[in-house]
Amino acid sequence: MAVKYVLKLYVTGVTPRSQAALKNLEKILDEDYKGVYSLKVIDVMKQPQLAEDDKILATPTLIKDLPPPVARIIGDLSDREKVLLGLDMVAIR
Amino acid sequence: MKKQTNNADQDKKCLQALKVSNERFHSIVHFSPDAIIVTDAKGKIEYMNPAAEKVFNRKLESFVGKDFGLALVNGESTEIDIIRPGKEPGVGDMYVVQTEWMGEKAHLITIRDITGRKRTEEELREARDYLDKLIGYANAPIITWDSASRITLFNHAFERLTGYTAEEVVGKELFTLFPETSRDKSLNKIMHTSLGEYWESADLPIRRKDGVIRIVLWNSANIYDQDGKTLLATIAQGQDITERKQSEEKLLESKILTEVVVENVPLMTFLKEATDLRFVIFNRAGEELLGYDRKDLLGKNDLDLFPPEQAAHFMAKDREVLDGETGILDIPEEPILTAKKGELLLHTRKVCIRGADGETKYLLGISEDITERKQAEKQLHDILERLRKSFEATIQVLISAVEMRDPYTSGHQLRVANLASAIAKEMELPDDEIEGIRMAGSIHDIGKLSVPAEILSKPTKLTNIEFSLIKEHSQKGYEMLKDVESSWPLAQIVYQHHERMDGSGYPRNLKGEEICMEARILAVADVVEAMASHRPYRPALGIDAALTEIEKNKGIFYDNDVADACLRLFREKGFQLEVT
Repeated sequence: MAVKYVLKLYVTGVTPRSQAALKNLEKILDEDYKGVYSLKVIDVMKQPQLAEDDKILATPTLIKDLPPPVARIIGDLSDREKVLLGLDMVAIR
Repeated sequence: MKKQTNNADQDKKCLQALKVSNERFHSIVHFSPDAIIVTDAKGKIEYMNPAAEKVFNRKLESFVGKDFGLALVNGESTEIDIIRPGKEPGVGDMYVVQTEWMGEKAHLITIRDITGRKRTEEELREARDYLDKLIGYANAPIITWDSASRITLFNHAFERLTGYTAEEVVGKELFTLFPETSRDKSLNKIMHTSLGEYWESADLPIRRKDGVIRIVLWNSANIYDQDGKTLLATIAQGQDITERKQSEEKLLESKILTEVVVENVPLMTFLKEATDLRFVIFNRAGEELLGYDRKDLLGKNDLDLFPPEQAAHFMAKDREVLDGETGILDIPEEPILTAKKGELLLHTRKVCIRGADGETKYLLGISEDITERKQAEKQLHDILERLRKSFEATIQVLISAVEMRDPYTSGHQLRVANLASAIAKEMELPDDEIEGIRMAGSIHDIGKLSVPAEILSKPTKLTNIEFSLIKEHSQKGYEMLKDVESSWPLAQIVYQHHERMDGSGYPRNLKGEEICMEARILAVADVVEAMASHRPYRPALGIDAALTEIEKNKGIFYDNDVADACLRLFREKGFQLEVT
């Protein structure tokens, strides 16, 4: 059974930080995880309750729900190694 | 015992030092305005300082022990969006350092609220973008250059003006836009600009990319730093005035030409304001004619310079022109009192000058001094009058000469003269011709002076020889008159008065157009008078018989128009011959 990563990215509207985070993440996922991930992008402005439920204090916050363990990173997503390490994801080449 | 006491004291000192140190650091962390968060290696919150509540705008006790997340930064710090319930999201600068907490690896996260700074940056950026657009799309060419005269900004209007794109010129030195021939002058002006002197406006020639030269009117301003002294840049706005300059030059040439013409034309030429009729221009010929210096004329009107009646006349004529429809008035003759030449006569033309809006602005006057000409005309008239009188006297002498010899002929001539001039008037001939016909009529039989009186008054039929002598009177009359100076062809009229239209007359058998009009008229008048009056050899045949003769031979012997005029005179207008 192939591993499927379930990810949630919390952003705040279309700030430069939100746009940069999305761009960086898509690059990483499309390069190395094509077909083995699902990504939900949640705008805290539009869905504040979800942010509250997940206790999101700031964005961009990226959460890996599956496979366990749940991992969370916040801040800059431009460094691929750091992102994958932080999310405890295996680098697939 | 002593050693144990020493150890206890040392321990106490250490504890004290630690306490002080803890209090210091607690103070720093507690009172820091930045949010300070300590997370474990995985990102679980171990500690948050009081400032964090302010930065995140919420109570944070429930967050301790929860996940903040593994904080990742790019370089020293990274910007994050802060979620603040009840407020707009903020922006924070997040710093992360690795540390230890309770003996375990931890992350010390500092978040500085930079929301205000970001907002200001954003506003500045928007303002700058707006300004860039304003300048970029402004209709006037705008250029800026730095203190080294390098172009820093070049808007679209400037691109259109020069044919260069902004990319082609930004960074280049300003002088590249100027034609070489005027570069030094232009650069000089620019140099003065950067030294702090800015020019209000100056004409500068600009060379387009295609080599064409355009003249541009510049306004510029220096931009200084906050110290008010350091020149940062110069901004200049231009207006393409090439066409305007060319028009101005043409207008100036035209103006100079007009001034030269007006000044030198040998007729008095002046211009008055339409409102108060004061002189605003006066040429040299005018000064000479009036005997005033123009400085004594300009600003004055006619009332200041001429007697009241003359001034009133001039001003009335002025108003006539200015208020009239045609805007032109010709005054053939008007007197003017001058300073040095007494009273002169002028022929003046006045013209109304209107502005582009159609309003009357000025009155133009051009006057010719006709004083001498008028005097000469009068002298000539007097001479001619004397000549005419002298001539008439001569004619009278001739008439008297005939009268003395032959009363029949004398009375006949005068009656023919009256009838002939009446016919000529009925035919609407010019007055001068009528006078000539009358004159010729009064002496048309002068040639009879050469005919023996006995033949003239013979009561019976004449012999052939006698008749041929009489027939010579036309030629004799011609010979008598041919050397007499006269403005009318008296000799020819007398010569031809017995010719007939069909060539059957005498002495030369002239026909139709060969016979002058005066002679044709005289011929009809002669026949009518002769038939209507007594003759030594027969009684009067009567006016009716005479008119019948004219009617019968109209177009054959006699000119049609002359015959018709004669008939109208008698039959419709009741003309009467003084028949004896």
